[in-house]
Amino acid sequence: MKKDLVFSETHEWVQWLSETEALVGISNYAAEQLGDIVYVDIDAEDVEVKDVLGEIESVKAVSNFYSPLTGDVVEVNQDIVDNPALINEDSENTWICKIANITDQVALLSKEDYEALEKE
Amino acid sequence: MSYVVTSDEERREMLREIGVSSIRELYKDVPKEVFLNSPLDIEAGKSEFEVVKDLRAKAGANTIFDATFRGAGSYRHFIPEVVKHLSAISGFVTSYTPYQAELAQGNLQSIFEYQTEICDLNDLDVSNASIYDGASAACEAMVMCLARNKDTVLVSKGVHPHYRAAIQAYAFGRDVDVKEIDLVDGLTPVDFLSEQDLSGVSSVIVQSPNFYGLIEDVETIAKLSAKKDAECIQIVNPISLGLLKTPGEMGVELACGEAQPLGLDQGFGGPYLGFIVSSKKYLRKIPGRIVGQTTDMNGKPSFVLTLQAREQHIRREKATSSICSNEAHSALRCAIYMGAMGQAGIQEVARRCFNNAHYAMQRIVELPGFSRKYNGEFFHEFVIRTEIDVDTINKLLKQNNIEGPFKLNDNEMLVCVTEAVSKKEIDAFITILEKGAK
Amino acid sequence: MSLIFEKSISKHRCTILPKQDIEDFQVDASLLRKSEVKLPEIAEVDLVRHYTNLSKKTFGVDNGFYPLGSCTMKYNPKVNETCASFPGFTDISPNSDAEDVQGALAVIYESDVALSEITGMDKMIFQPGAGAHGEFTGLLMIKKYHHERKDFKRDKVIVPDSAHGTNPASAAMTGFKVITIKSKNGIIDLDALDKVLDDTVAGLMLTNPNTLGLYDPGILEITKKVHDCGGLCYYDGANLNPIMGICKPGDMGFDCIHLNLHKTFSTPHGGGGPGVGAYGCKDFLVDYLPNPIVVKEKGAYHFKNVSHSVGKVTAFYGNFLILVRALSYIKHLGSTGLKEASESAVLNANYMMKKLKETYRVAFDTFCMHEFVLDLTSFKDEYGVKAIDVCKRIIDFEMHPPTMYFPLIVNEALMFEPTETEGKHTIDWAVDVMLQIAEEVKKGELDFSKTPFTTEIRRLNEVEAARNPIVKYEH
Repeated sequence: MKKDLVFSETHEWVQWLSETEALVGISNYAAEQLGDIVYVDIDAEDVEVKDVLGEIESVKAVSNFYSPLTGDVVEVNQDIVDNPALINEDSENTWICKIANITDQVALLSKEDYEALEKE
Repeated sequence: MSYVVTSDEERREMLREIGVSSIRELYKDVPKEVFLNSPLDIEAGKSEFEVVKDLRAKAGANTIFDATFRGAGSYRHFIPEVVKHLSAISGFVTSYTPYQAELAQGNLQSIFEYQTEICDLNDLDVSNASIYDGASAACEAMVMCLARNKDTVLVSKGVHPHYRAAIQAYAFGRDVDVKEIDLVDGLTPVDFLSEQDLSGVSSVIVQSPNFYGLIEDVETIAKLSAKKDAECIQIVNPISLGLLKTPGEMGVELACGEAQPLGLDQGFGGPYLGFIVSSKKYLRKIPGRIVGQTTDMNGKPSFVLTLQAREQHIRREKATSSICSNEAHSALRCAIYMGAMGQAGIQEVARRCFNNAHYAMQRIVELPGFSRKYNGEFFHEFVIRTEIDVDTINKLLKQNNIEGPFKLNDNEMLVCVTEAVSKKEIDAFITILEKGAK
Repeated sequence: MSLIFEKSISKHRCTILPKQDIEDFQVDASLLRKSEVKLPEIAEVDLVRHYTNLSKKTFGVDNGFYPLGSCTMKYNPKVNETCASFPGFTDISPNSDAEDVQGALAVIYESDVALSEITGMDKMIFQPGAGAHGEFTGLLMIKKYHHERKDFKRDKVIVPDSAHGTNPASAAMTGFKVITIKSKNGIIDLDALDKVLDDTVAGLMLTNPNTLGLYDPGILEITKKVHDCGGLCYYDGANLNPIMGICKPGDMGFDCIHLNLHKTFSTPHGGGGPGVGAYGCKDFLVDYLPNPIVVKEKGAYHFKNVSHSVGKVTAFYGNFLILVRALSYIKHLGSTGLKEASESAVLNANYMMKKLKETYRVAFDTFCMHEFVLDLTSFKDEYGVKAIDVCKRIIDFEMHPPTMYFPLIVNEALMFEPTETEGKHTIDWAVDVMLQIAEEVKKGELDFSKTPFTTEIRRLNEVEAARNPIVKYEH
């Protein structure tokens, strides 16, 4: 069964695959703010919470992609590297990278709580 | 006269509309401590006629030599008249950066063509729309290669001393360690590289043809650098690429240099044109503006400034470079030059430079008291050792309105001969040297 | 229009070089280029037509009104072009001996003296290639200044949130951390400044008037606070146009500055450059300047190297032929003309702003200096029309759009800088255009997402250009 997404305050989402592995992506809100995404560059290998995983570029902006987890980046979604538009099409179903050996995380909110925060 | 258009009457009307009685009121936020109460201590304005007279006199106080044998980073070449004429068209001169693409397809297309020509000349894939000059281009290329654990840069002493001074300045800014490589017989010793531990080195910067005119073994240097995960950056004179092996052919992935020889006036040092050109690997790291091809909403092919997310106005402190205004007009001029000289012309110019310089060298070393320093092959510059001091030689040449070679020290000079010097002028130069030797 | 490469015809060329009179020398095959030199093959008449037709698809100050905020697109006097074309300037090498180029050195020296007086600095150089390069030079010198005094802990530079992107980018190039402070009512929030000032601050970068066109009345207090904590004050001279002959950055407490000669001093923008990032400083920083400087001794001009130079930022002395144009402008205007230019720039901007304020919302409802910012958020919220859509519509009227989306602290920003070289008649006309567009927005009959309507090339697909960049022609 597909686990529900949980969200950080800095607009990343986490989908737990197991206790120590998860997929991460960005929220609809973040994708909308960026506009049409043209390039994704994930170059971090091991990260701590709030470290920069990489950068997401749109035509008019570039944004740091912060890690909501402490662990190792074991895979980057090649589909979005080849076609970054996928993130705009369906940001909450498009993972950006997979993190394993997770030992720490930021405060993660349920979808309802995160959306309530955005409304403020 | 200040090119202010409004009449006194119109200005009064405008003040009324704004709701103030004088312009002084509009400056209300300027503290009285700084508000100037007396005029600036500079000369009163001159009429256009007087300005022209003043500057013409200054221009007249500079010597224009009939022939020059001095290069060292700035070169005299034939510039077709059409280059000056076309680049002076007002639409090219008075326009701004083509951010509003719908208004500026002419500017954008001319830059796209320039980018293509620089790529083709170097056998590489990505060029930017220009940077200030060759020295700053070398610096920006160096910065492109910096990485987290690689904050050392190796620079050959064959690189122009002014460029090395600029690299030191940029390195100081970024807390980068610069190690200079000593030359052997005027060339970068390749064994040095194969012996060196290059961990922590992000790039190896070499110039070819180098400051002493010699052609370096860039192919080997590039191979050795790549083996040790350091980028070989070649600083190259674009005219030489009409004859010599290109950076692309030699396995170099990042090249840069000074494009002044491509149709820009020597102009006492500027405006010149720095170019940076690379393989696709650096597409998103190359600094400065880049023009890309796209289509408009009706599918029409068109051009636009692209990958702007690299630049300072978007990235701000995360940008690798702060460059905003560039040398667009110089790039246009160089593109026109490359069109005017064309495929055949560039090759001819390069060939002539090579021939003229080798002829001159051959004749100089026949004279007693003159010998060649360094043995390697050269493009259009070479170093001569002389028993008479260089200042005396240059004084003699000056009396004949010839600009002598670049003085390296009292007894060594860097001689440059381009296609702009005729055989007759070379022979006259030799005659004067011969006289001087006696 | 086809590319020049598409017009190439085999063996066509422009014939340029004189007859060859020296035999070919042998070149070792291993050194020779083997790849084709894919440059154009085109006859002169076709080359001329190509570029003449390209020039028709450009829009310069010579074509129409160009109120680009922050760029100072003033008229480029033609007398400047005459002076910059003298062979005595174009045909001299930067490596010539000083005695052979006294006229060129005089240009540099006289420009130094005049601009030092205008700005209240003690020495000006012209080596930086543009404003951003001047900023880089200035920050290098500030870094060196602190290092020479063994003060290595100063690793921060303060910029306001209204700063031009080149400011933080230049700071990053010089290894500084950028501390951005929020503006209050468009100007520096003194409390916010106090909170960040300590002995780890190397300096403050500020432009005054700022990018909103506002003059900060607290400027003396600001520079004093920075000096009190041991930092230096850097002036971004991009906005000098309204204050020539009115006040000087040197009197405001700034230790070093850069000027954009291609803005304030009328040199042409050339499609994006070249400019000159003139850099000036007070006496105590002169020893750190890039080498060489030009001095006058015993009635003649000389190059001189300073003792603690940061090195060089370009190979020679800067964009000399551009400097000639600026000097020609300064000599033509003189002290009265420069002040008149500044005052008229301020008059024109306030006049235009007043006439637009009923219809458009101004970001800050106070007198402006040489430029003002409109906030088009209400257009976006009520009618779904964005600032970019309005700008593209302006193009249909053969006016160049203003600067859009800058400064970042104003939403849906449009920044207008008419400059002093526009007449009231032109400004009135431009105002009518803007009012007409506002009407069109409110009427809602035009699809603003598809503006401009009348240009040959319409809205471009920038997303595709960035996703799959094509940056050169494939032969």
